[in-house]
Amino acid sequence: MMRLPVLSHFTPKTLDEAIALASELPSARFVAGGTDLLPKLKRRQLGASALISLTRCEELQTIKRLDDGGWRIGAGVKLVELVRLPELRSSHPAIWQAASQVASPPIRSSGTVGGNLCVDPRCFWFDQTAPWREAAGQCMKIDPAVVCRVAPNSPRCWAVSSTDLAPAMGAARAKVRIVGPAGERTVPLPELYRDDGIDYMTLSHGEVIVDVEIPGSVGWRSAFWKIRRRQSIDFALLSASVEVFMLTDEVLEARVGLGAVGSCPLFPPEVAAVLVGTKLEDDVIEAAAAAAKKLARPMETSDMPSSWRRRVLPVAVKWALREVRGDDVTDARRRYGPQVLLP
Amino acid sequence: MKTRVTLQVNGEERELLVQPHHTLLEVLREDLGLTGTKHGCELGECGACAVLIDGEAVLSCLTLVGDTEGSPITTIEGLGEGQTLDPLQTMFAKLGGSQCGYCTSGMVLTARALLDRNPDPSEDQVKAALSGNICRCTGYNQIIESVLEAAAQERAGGASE
Ligand SMILES: Cc1cc2nc3c(=O)[nH]c(=O)nc-3n(C[C@H](O)[C@H](O)[C@H](O)COP(=O)(O)OP(=O)(O)OC[C@H]3O[C@@H](n4cnc5c(N)ncnc54)[C@H](O)[C@@H]3O)c2cc1C
Ligand code: FES
Ligand code: FES
Repeated sequence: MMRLPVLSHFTPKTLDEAIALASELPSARFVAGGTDLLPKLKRRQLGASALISLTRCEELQTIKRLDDGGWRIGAGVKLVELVRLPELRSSHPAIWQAASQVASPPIRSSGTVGGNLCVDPRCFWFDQTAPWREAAGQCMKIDPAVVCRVAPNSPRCWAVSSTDLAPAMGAARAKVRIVGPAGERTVPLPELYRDDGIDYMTLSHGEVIVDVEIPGSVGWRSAFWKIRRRQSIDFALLSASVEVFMLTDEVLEARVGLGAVGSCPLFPPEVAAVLVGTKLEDDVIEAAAAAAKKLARPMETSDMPSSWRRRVLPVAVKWALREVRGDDVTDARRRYGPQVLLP
Repeated sequence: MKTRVTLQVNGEERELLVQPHHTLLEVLREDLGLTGTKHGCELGECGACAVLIDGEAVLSCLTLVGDTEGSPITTIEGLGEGQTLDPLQTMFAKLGGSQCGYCTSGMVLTARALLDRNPDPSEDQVKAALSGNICRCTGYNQIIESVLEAAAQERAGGASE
């Protein structure tokens, strides 16, 4: 049996209680669905003296449609609840497509929105069992005295951001509400992250993501494409989310999110800029894909070589742009994310 | 230190002392003797440990026992009634949906959650719903067939043999 380390477990009923507990317990961690944290604790990649469940905090559990057609989604909402929302599927396709491709169905039945945004960056070296790492050697993410195994000459860790919701929600201009011991603050989603495989979030101890607010999408079209080894269970090898604002056939505004190609989700304005003022002609789509390829620097963190991920990233960007242009992408979807096609 | 929990397992209230760092999988198998729930990877990658909580198929290996208090839990032992099997169990046995049996309880319960929400799933919907459950024996065809056939039987009036 792979068991969790010995720890205590609290199930507070309110957010205040959860935050107060965290303030008292400096080596406690919050847990929601547990689908990212528990495997990491079992593999002894992380430690914790106590787990504080957020599952019973009512404040985190609601989904609300806003007057502008947007959404306020509680951090404790399970991914399966998003997948079962046809209104979200039609108003914000990219976010729905991202949620429906996370992990596998039973994981989406426990995994939450908040937990997804906080997924610990991954690396084939770090994400091994304790005996493997003891035999092969630890890495910087476990022991600061050791090098990064992926880039031994680098002063930093290159573990790769692996949340699927973040590139989609960030491109959709989401804002994240955070409550902690020092009070409440709201930040644009990209500001949740740091470009570092270890210190990857700007949350401090005791801060809880309460909800995510996504503005209305009238005039916006979006799509999310994820490439992974198998079409279920696996994390992304790379992903691309695009949002374009067009009232006629001309793009007036655009946002692009790239996932799993760096230690944080990337929202490159230079890729989005290629699209503005165009009608998404083939050469524009090629140019945007080339711009994405130029700036993304995936490292050898995954079970496909970084050269392959660099080659395939523009392919994902192109499919996403063809989809928002209105092309029939059914055949490609069947290969790269069949669940997106289900009724 | 052990803590007291009250669980609702297969329709019965079970009060017991558990280690707070134990998952539902450990408690079901080791404290309650319900070994129909299997442990495979124990890391969320195989689906062998799936049980129903509040009617949803979830992975017991990634569920802290303390988080399940107050929610109805169904394991494979709780399917069917007495000697009468659930139509899914009948069809898995009849059509070869189970060979070594290791994935079977997770498969059957995950399929149960699907049919309870959608009594008439398409083949693609069955494949998608079972896409978190790995089987090393059957090659999946017989599993998918078993689920579709059980669904058809239930729609026709539920007579299981
Ligand atoms: C086999 C497997 C495949 C997976 N595939 C994918 C995938 O394809 N894509 C993907 O994105 N993820 C994947 N995951 C990771 C994970 O299952 C999902 O990201 C899930 O949504 C995490 O949510 P959770 O509630 O289970 O998080 P938890 O494990 O409960 O928590 C994860 C982290 O978030 C923190 N946290 C949780 N909620 C909050 C909050 N409200 N405020 C502050 N901190 C919080 C926790 O402290 C912890 O550090 C996979 C996991 C497994 C085991
Ligand atoms: S044992 Fe739980 S998913 Fe494999
Ligand atoms: S029957 Fe052997 S693993 Fe599925």
